[in-house]
Formats: sequence, structure tokens, C-alpha cells
Amino acid sequence: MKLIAREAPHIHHNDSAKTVMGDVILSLLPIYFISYCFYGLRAVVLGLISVVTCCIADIICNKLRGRRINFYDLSPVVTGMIIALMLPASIGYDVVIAAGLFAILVAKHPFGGVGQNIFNPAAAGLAFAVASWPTKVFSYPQLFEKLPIFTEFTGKLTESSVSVLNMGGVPLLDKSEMFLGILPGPMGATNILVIIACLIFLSYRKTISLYQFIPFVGGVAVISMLLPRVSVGAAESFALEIMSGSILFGGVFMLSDPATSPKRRFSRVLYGFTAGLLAMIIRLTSGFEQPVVFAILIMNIFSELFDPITDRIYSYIERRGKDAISKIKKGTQNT
Amino acid sequence: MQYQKLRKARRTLKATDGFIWHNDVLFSGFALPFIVVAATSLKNAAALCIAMLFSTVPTALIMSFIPVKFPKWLRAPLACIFSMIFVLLSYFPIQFISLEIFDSIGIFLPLVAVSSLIFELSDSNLHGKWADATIGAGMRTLGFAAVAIIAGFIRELLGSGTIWGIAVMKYKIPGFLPVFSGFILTAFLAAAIRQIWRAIMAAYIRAENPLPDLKEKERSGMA
Amino acid sequence: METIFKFILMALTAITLENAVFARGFGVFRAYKMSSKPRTLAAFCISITCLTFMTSLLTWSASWLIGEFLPEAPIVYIRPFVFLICAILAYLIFYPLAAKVKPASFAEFKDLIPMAAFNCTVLGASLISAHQSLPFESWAGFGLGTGIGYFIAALIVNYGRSLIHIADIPRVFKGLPIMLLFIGLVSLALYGLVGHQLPI
Repeated sequence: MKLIAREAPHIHHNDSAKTVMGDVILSLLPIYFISYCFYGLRAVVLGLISVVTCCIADIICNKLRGRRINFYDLSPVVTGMIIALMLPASIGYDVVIAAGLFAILVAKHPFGGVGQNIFNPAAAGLAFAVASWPTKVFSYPQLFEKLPIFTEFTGKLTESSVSVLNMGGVPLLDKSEMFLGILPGPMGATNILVIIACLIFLSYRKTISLYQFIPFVGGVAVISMLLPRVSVGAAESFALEIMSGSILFGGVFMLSDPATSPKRRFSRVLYGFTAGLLAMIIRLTSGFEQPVVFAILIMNIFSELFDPITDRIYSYIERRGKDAISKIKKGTQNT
Repeated sequence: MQYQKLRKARRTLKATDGFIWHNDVLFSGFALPFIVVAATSLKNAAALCIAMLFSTVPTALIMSFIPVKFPKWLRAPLACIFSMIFVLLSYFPIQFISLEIFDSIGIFLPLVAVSSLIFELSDSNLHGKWADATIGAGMRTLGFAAVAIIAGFIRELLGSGTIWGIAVMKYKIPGFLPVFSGFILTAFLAAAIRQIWRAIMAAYIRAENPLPDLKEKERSGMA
Repeated sequence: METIFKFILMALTAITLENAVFARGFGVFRAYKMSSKPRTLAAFCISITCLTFMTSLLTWSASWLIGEFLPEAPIVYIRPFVFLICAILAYLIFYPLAAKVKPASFAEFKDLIPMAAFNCTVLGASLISAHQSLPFESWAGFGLGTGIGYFIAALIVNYGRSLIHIADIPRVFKGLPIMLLFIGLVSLALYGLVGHQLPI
């Protein structure tokens, strides 16, 4: 019998870890293109620096662990690309490097490496960046502003629509502008149209599960409609919250990490819904503009619990169903 | 395989139990709140070291004189009372570190009196062996001090860009100051000390048991 | 009604935002050591919860008495010592009470009670409440919440231990280092709920 060794995650599918990561990279490239159109070459350079940092850190960790370097393991590339897209285009390169190093050296390799990490590395790296430099991470340049590549940006920085919502105001933006991402915000998280297109592509390729994403949006909707932060209608509040900040981007690219997600369908529904609720609760309590990274970290802690809970629910329903059927049969026999 | 050098080294190092040999903080996890939360600067670390020294050594000495017949369930509260008295006495030298030292350490200074180290000292079987008890407590305090100073130095330098309150670096990473970074830094220090120990033990074993020269073996085999 | 609401709110704050283990590092050593033995962990955590709550009630009374009769006293020196005496009183009440109420469990776990009574969690909860000058209902709620929060944190540490056990951890990280990393990342996740560093 020929045994084939494969890297985790072990997906029972024709696809491999390489194709899954490859699909995600393909879907992130249009977002980088849009960022290039909005912010110039600096957006691409930020992404490159982030990817190179993550890859070098990954190689060093593999060498220290005595493992051979797997060039088909594209997970550090995905981590690097996601980290850069969740940050402003004007952010210093040091922040991106620090976030990338934290993601690989603290959240990924000490826990076993690819497929065995408990926490999403990109979420951990971004959470570290947010906790360390909240002012820098939540200040954004204007669109179509010429950003320098080799020096620090010293121009005017502005707030995002999330900051306006935090202060109880309504962003003075057209919904179409918010949908097309023509507003200051994280480099890759503002263009809702492109993110939805990426979502459709990834769900068609079965890289991500809609059983997780749709309940996630549902969770966001529940809190934004029941506890609106501004005096607008429920639907308007939901639209403002979902199109502001990086909640949608996080829901598509970070929540569905196969290593940290539950496996069963119903578990994913519960997981996604709880993550959505939590992301909005964090937005309301702490005022952080990127609550989705913290919500994902908290959900990662409990992700392994969802499958056993679902198993118990299924076995309970099956048992009750069998009891009901046997009672009906007894009743028909007696008559 | 020969292990004489290794055994001799271990016997020598066991005298430093709690400090170099099996550091209490990095190997066993004692007194972690002080390292993780409070040791965010060298001044804080120094104050915690003074408080720990004042509380552990005299408490260990006094507890070694408590008779064996004394009820076990009353040893811990007695040790904590003595420890608290000595910690409050340590406030006098600590106040000379800086004017804001009590504000920057907060509640963690009096909490030294109820740290897990004090509990371990109260529970130890060193009745009558006052010299061993004092030396043991001293070693444990040195172990705590070493970790506190290293952690305080790293966190202050990288988190605030200062050493002992004096600005030395413009660049800083404020993420080194919150509690989560204390846990992560302590984890890496614990991993580093394990790796260093493993390398030292391996060096001792290799010194006594050198690897055979394979080429020599082949030549002697062919001859 | 408002009193009950404040009590519950403060308890919830102590459980989540100001968790004893993840926000202040209290009792990490004990939670880690006992996480491999669920029954011992449960007995320890129940003891800590009861003792923290009882100590909170006594320390609030002591703090009120100090404020009433010794307003000029140097509070920096008197308060920690008086609070320690309150913790010892709570221990002296709890120890024989546990022996009477649950003799079988007491015989098995009596060595844990001194550990539960004299640690940073019990005294720390009272010192934090005094530092923040909380009213009685909030003080008591914070004490109870700290104990329950410690219990939940210990369960999370136990659960994390089972997750980490099956992973291919590098040898230098096995044991205490990886558990500290896990607790650190959970602390980072909960930092997002608070939004800022808590005062010490």
C-alpha cells in the first residue's frame, strides 16, 4: 500500500492545502489591485513587505524545528496578504513587520504550525498591532492621495465611518460610495462589491462555507438592528455597520480559516452566528474599529467545542425521533 | 555512556535550586502575576525584588522555628501574617526608588505577602533547619529577581523606550506593556531557559561521551 | 432593584472584562497545576469563589470601619494588613464549615483550602475594590464575580491544555511555556472587549 504524506489541514476533498490557499491568494489579488488604484504603489509594497516578513519568519521557524521547508505551503503568504489589507495604506512598515512576526512566531509555530494552530495567525497579528498602535491603525489617508513609498506619510489623516458611528454620528456618505469603498478605511476592507465577488468565487470553489458566513452576517444584523448606535432605522443601522470597517472582510477571509473552524455544518452555523454577535458587542463595548479580529480570537478558543455540542444535539434529536416513531407504531398496532 | 561530569555538575547546581537550577518562576510558574502584570519597568522590578526579599527570607527563617506539631492548616495564615509585616517594612527602602513607585505598582506590592512562593515556604519540611530554609528562600528570591529584572528591562526598553526612566530609544512598541505581552514574554523566557539547560546538559554528556569518528572506524574495519 | 442590578453588573465585569486570570494574572500557577485534575480543580475553584466572596464582605466592613474611626490613619500601611486579617477570618470560618457540611469532600480536598484562601485572587479582589472605592453592592459583586471568573478561567486553561496536548508542540515550549502563550493570547482576545489597559 502506497502511503502519501500530506500537510495539514487534512481536507477530505480533491483539493489540497495548496489549492485552498491558492484560491484565497487569487481572491485577494483584485483587492490589492483596487488598493493600488486608490493609494498607489505603497499599498502593494506594504503587502509585499508583510508577505516577505511572514515567509521569512516561517522559514526560520521551520529550520529551528528541524523541518524541511515546504514551498507549496502558501499559508504565510495568505497571512501576510490579509494583515496588510486590514491596515491603513499610510501605516509605517514597522507596524506591518511587527504584526507579521507576531502572527508567525507567537500564534502559529509554537502551537504546532500550519493546520494545528489554535488561533488564526492573521487575527492575532492584527490584534497585536491594534493593541500596540491604536492611533496609527485607526487613522487613514484620503483616497487618491499620493503616498510616499520609502518615507513615512506626513500628510493629513482622517477617521473612518466607524469612528463617526462610535461618536453617535451618521457618516455623511452615499450608500453607493460605501458599497464601492470610496471612503477612508483599511486598505482592502472598504470595497464591499469586490469582497462580495471574492466571497462568491471562494464559495463556488468550496474554499469557504456559506454556512458560516451568512449566520455571521445574521449575528451582526441582530445586534445592529436591536441596539442601533445612531438614530436611524434598523435596516439603515445594519447597512451602516456592515459596510463600515473590516467586519465583512474579516467574515470572508479570516473567519473561515479551515484550521480554526468547526467541521460540521450546524456547528459552522452556530460558530458564525456567535462570531457576528461577538464582533458587534466588542464594537459597542470597546469602541475598537476592528472588533472582528478580537471576536475571531475569542471564537477560536471555543471552536473545538461546537462539534461535540452539535453531535449531542443530533443524537438527542435522533433518540427523540426514534422514541416518537416507536410510540406511533405501538399505537397503530394496538388499534 | 558516562555521566560522572553531568552528575557532579547537577550536585553543584542543586545548591542553587530556585535560582539557576529550576528557576521557580520559569520552571514552576510561581509568582507569575508580579512578572506578568507589574514588572513593566526596571523600577517596578526593583521594588518587587526588594518586597520579595523582605517577605520570603525572614518568613522562611521564622517558619523553620515553628514546631512540627503546629497544625498544618494554620501554618499558611501564620506565614502570611509575618510576610505582610515584612512587606510593609519594605515600603521604607522602596520609597527611595521613585516618587511614583507606589502608584505604578499599585496593589501588587502588598500582594507579595500572599504570593505562591510564601505558601510554598510555609508548607516546606525544613523544621529546625534554619540555615537551609534561609538559603533556600534566598535562592528563590534571587530566581524571582533575575526574571523580574530581565522582564522589566525588556518591557521598559521596548515598550517605553526608557531604562530606569531615562529615555534611550525613540522607537517603542507600546504592545509590550499590557498583560498579554507579559504572559507571552514569560513564555518565551521559559522556553529559552529550557533550551539553554538542554544545551548545557548535552554539552556535559558530549564532553564525556564523544561521538565515534566514523571514518576511523571504517579504516580500522578495512584494515 | 438598583442594588441587585449593580451587584450583577459588577459581577459580570469581574467575570469578563476584569477577569482575575486573563486581565490581572492572579492564580495562574494554581490554575495551570490543577488543570490536569478536573475534580481537584473544581474543588479548588469552588473554595476560591466562596472565600473571595466572604473576604469581600468582611473587607468592605473593615474598610468602612477604618474610614469611620481612623480617617487620619496611613491607609497604605493599614489597609493591606487589615484585609489580610479579614481573609484569615474568612478562612477560619470556611475551614470548619466545610468540614461540617461536606465531610467526605473535605477529607479529600482539605489541603486545597489554605491554597484557596491565601493567594493573590482573594486579597487582590478586595484591594481592587478598595482602590476603586466601590459601594457595598459593587464590592460584593466584584468579589463574587472574581471567584466565578477564576473558575471559568481555570476551565478555559483546562480546555486549552486538552487542545494543546494533541498538537505537535516544539519541545522547548512543552508544559508551562505553551500554557502561558495560550493564556497570553486569550488575554489579548479579551483585551479587545476592554479597549484599554486596566489600572493596577
